[in-house]
This record gives sequence, structure tokens and C-alpha cells, in this order.
Amino acid sequence: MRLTIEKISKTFKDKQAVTTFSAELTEGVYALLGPNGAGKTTLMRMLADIMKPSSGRILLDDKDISLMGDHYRDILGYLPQEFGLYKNFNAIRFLSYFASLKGLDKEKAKTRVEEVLKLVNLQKDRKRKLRTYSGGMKRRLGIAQALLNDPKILIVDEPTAGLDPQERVRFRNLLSEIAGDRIVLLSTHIVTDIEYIAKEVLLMRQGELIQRSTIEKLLESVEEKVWKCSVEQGALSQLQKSYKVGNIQRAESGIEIRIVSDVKPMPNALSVSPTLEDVYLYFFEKEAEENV
Amino acid sequence: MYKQECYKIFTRKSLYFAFLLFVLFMVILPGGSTPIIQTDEYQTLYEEWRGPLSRTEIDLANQKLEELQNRIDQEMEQTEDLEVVFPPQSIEEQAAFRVYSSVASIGRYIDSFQQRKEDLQEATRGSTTTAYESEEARLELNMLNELGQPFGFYNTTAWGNTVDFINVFAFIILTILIVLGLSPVFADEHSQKSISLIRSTKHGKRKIVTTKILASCTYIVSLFVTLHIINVALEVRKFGALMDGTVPLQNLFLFIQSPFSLTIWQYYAIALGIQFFASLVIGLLVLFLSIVTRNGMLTFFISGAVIGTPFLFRQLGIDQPFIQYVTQFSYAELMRVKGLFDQFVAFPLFDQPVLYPVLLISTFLLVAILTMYLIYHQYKNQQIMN
Ligand SMILES: Nc1ncnc2c1ncn2[C@@H]1O[C@H](COP(=O)(O)OP(=O)(O)OP(=O)(O)O)[C@@H](O)[C@H]1O
Ligand SMILES: [Mg+2]
Repeated sequence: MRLTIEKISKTFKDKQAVTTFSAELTEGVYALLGPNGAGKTTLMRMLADIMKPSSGRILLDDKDISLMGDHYRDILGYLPQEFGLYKNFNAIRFLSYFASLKGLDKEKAKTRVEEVLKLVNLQKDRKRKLRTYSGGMKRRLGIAQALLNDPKILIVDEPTAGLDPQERVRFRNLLSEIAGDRIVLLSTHIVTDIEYIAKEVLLMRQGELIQRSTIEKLLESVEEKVWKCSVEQGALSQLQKSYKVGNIQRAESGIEIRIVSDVKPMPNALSVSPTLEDVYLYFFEKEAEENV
Repeated sequence: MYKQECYKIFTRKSLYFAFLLFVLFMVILPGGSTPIIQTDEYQTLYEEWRGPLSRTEIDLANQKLEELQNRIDQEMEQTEDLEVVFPPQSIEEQAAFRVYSSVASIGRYIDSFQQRKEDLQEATRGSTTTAYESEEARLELNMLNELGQPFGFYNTTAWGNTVDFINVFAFIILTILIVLGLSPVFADEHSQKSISLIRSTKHGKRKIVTTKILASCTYIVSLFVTLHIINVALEVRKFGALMDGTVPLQNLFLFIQSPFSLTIWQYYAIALGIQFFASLVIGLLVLFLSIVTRNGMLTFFISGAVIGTPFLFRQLGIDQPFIQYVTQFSYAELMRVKGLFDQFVAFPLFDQPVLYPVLLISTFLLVAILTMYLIYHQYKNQQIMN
């Protein structure tokens, strides 16, 4: 299975949200990483067939998805970043409704609804009205909905936002379990979500794909560029102006900071092994500076 | 899917609340027959006169009415007491007055019916009319001839009320409840932000539309049936029974000038059918607006304006030719039904007169098909921006 994104762009009135984005995805988990407003959601909406690209095509095994129509959505699971649930439905009714929208027959739907409820750990709350659900429970139900038809292509937009650590781990494991024979595209700001499961990371900035690579390669690319040093309180603001500063931690002997820089920022700086967070800083901090 | 779509509509409490309010209104509405009709005196006389009327019978009634009138006048003169405007009459006199004046006015209807036929006869000869006008006159004349002489003396108050309900209260209640009930059908998926979930599913672009239309029809059917059953039940409670449904439609006061050869019963069935059809067409309009505006409130007001404005024009008596066309071919007129049948109206189509009801119903059949197409088309091509 091969999902080909071919030079797609999306322009809103005066805003270019996605700019000639091209990528080819095969089975596995892909992480879409980028700052707010990078165009992740817009890209995913086009992949979920609820928005049309201004230009470009999306192909599944060389077939244009806009021509595949129902057949494409039949193998698609989509969790939007923002969505609402019917307040006076309970989880069973909600999932049964989506099961029928996804074309599952009645018998199949019944067992499948129970299965996905179990996957997201909501069996106990399955008879409760959705208006009584907490934020995290709603998102889990959204995930359950996306999984109903056992999709070959799963697109999840910030699926872990609002989940507690335990549920986040559960979701991460769920993804790596099912990712073997399907394409999963996941966007997030929480880099630890993807650390262990992403086959590749797509870095997106201002609508463009700026980097695409495995996690190892990304970490390699910032090797020898991450530093740790202790500074005085007074020097901090100056450093923040000239370097990409990560964690700032108060220690007994002043302040310990983490800096991502091509050159050694200060004589007493120690080189440390990079994390994905450093990668994120390395690629996106500049933008943050521009925005300020 | 169908079950849940129905669930979405039928669990809205505001609809039940509005419906109950309307029913309550119907119940407390004054009505029923006037006391005099229920007296034995009236009933005896009514039985005697009931049925088709001959010339002599009508003359007799007129004569008796005159006698009665004279007697009342005399009594009036004799009455000293100025406080009493009408002298007290006996029940018998009141009943007689009632029967004879009814028969007398039926006599006048028969006269003007004859007169109308003669006028039409004249018009068909075409000395003062255009070719089309005489064509139209011929059509009407044929219909009147087929009708024979429809008038007779019958007590049709109960039927009159039942039929009248269609063009007044049923029109208002159904329209409001349909607009209220169906405005959110598509729009709420946006306000509840469930639309992106739906549209990314296999059946989220076509079958969902069919299902929502079916659920909306289910709502309309239940509303329609319940409302009319309640009405008939209320009329029966007021009048005891619906009598004389098998007499010609022209014996209902509202349809004296109708050229259609129908019994009251037949008309009632046809009118219900047309009103039901109109309900569906209005339902489709609301669904379409619900898709386009993506906003339930806006849908409610726009539908209200589209349906209500022509009705308002009519009530205000605005009658510029163009406005009149708009009014005649409006959702409201179709929904009220009465205007289709209460007099002869025809429009020229390729120089041939076509009856208004035929034209109106055909027009709205086309409108329904077009709306249906637009609904599917519009929904399919919609994009989700937020
Ligand atoms: N419907 C719209 N109309 C106009 N502009 C839009 C619309 N939707 C998105 N945008 C703009 O497109 C750009 C990309 O938005 P998008 O939601 O795709 O970003 P994102 O990467 O998902 O951000 P976040 O991390 O905050 O979710 C933003 O600048 C946004 O303002
Ligand atoms: Mg987003």
C-alpha cells in the first residue's frame, strides 16, 4: 500500500496553509511535527477527504482518492483535532451510528463496538450520556470511532491531547501494535508520543515539508549540538536572545540550562546526548523567535 | 444509521413542547355548532328540508322567510321596551328562521351558478373574447356542466371545520413544526462539530443524505398524522359525528364557487394528500437551507421568510400582477390547498388553458426534484473548513 501526496497546496482566501507538499507513505507510523499554524491539520483534512486541495493530488496505489470516493473512505480512519459528540447519545449509540456510517453490518458492528470500547478503556462508561464525559474520555471515544472499521489508513490529529499519561501510553502501544500493516499518520506537539513508535518524522513549517527522516537520523543531525551549562540568573536573558534555549532548571549552584547550538555556547558547556525535544528546538526555535 | 438519525430529531424536547402548545390551542379554541342547531325543533325541520332542493321548495322557503320576517317586524313595532333590540322569539321561530334563510341563500347560489354558466356560454362564442379566453371559458363550462347542480341543504358545519383546519391551523402548525424540526438536521452537525467525523466515513457523503431525508420524512409523517387525527377527534367531540361527507364539495361555504366535481370526502382525502406532499416539499427546502447555511437559526428564519412572505402578501392584499404570481406559486398556497380548489383558475400554457392545481402541483414536483438534486450536490461538494 502506498499513499502518495503529490504537490498538494491549500490556499485560504489570502493564506497559504499548505505549500506544494509531497511525500510518499507506506505501512508504518509517521509523525507530523510542526509548530502551531504549520498546516498539519489542513494537510490531514485533505488526506481525510473532507477538504479539497487547491492544487495537487493524493494517490492511493496510483489511484486518485478524489475519484475513489467511498472506496477510499471505506479504508480510512480519521480523528480530527477538534470534534464534537452528540451530547444525548451514549457511547454505544454513538459508536453504532458510526459503525453504520462506515458500512459495518449489524452483527459485525455489535462486536466491533465492544472491541474498540475495550481498546480505549471505556467499557465501564459505555452507557453514560456523552455530555457527562471528560475531555480525555471524549478524545478516547473519538479514537475508538476512528478504529471502528479497522482502517488501513489511520489519520489522527493530536490524538493524545488531553490524555493522562497512563492513557497516553496505552494509545502509543495500541498504535505500534496495529501499525504493522497500515499507514498511520499522527500529528502531535508532544514529542515523547512518537519517540518509540514513529517510523519516520515529517517536520512541517509554514505549510512546507522541511525535513523527513527517521528518529535516529534526526537525533544524529543534532549530535554535538546540544549543550548543558550553568549560568547566573543575570546572564539568562542575554543567552536566550542569542541561542535556542531549552529546559531551564534551577539548581543549587545557579541555573542549569540546555542549549541547542552549532557551536559551543560557553567554555564551561558540556555536550550532552540529544533528545527529540532538542531536535524540535533546533528546527523550529528560529520561527519562535521570529514570531516574538 | 436511520434509527439514530430519527433519534436525533425525535429527542428534541422543544418540538414536543411546541406541539403540545398548539394542540392546547386547538382544544381551547371556540367552536362547535350553535345551540339552536341542537334543538329538536331545528332537527325536525332540518330532516324535512335536507337534501337537494327543487325550485318550488326554494320559493316556498323564501315565502316562509318573508312571513317570518313580517311577523318579527310587527312584534318589533309592538315592543315598547327600547332596551330590547330583538324581541324574544320562540325556539321554533329561531329554528325556522335558520332553516329558511339557509335554503334561501342556497337558492341564490343556484341562481348565480346558472348565471355563471350562461356567461361562460356567451364567452365561448367568442364575439368579445380572445381565442384563449374562449378556450378557458369552454374548459370551465365543461367542468360546471359535469358538476350538474351540486347544491342542496345539508348541515356541513362539522365537515366545514375539519376541512378548514387544513388551510388555517394545519398550515401554520405544520409549517412551523417542520421548519423548527428540520432546520438543525444538517446544520447541527456543524455546530456540534461532528461533521468532519461523518464526512470522513464511507457513507458520509451520500447515504447519510438519503438517511437524513428519510428520517425527516418520518418526522413529517408522524407529525402530519398525529395532528390530523387530533383534529378529527376534536371535531367529532364537538359535533358528535362528521355528517354528509358524500355530498358535493360545493355545499361547503368556502367552496361554493369551486368547479370541481368532488364530494366533501374526496376533497378531504385529496387535500390531505396535497398538504402532505407540500409538507415534504417544504421539508426538502428546509434541509437544503440547512446544508447551505450550516446554521440552524439562519435556516429557521430564511425558511420562515420564504414560506411566510407570499402568505403575508396575500393577507395584506397586495395584488400587483407579479406579486400575484409569486403568491399563487408559493409554498404557502400549496400547503394551504384551499386556493387550488375554491374557484376556477387556469393559466395559459402553449395557448391552452391549464388548471391552476395541475400547474401548481407539477411545478412543485419539479421543485422537489430540483431541491433533492441540489441537496445531494451541495452536500457532496461541501468542504469542512473548521
Ligand atoms: N478555514 C480557514 N480559513 C483561513 N485560514 C485557515 C483556515 N484553517 C486554517 N487556516 C490557516 O492555515 C494555517 C494552518 O493551519 P492548521 O490548522 O493546518 O495548522 P496546524 O499545524 O494544525 O496548527 P496547530 O498545531 O495549532 O493545530 C494557519 O495559519 C491557519 O490560520
Ligand atoms: Mg492542527
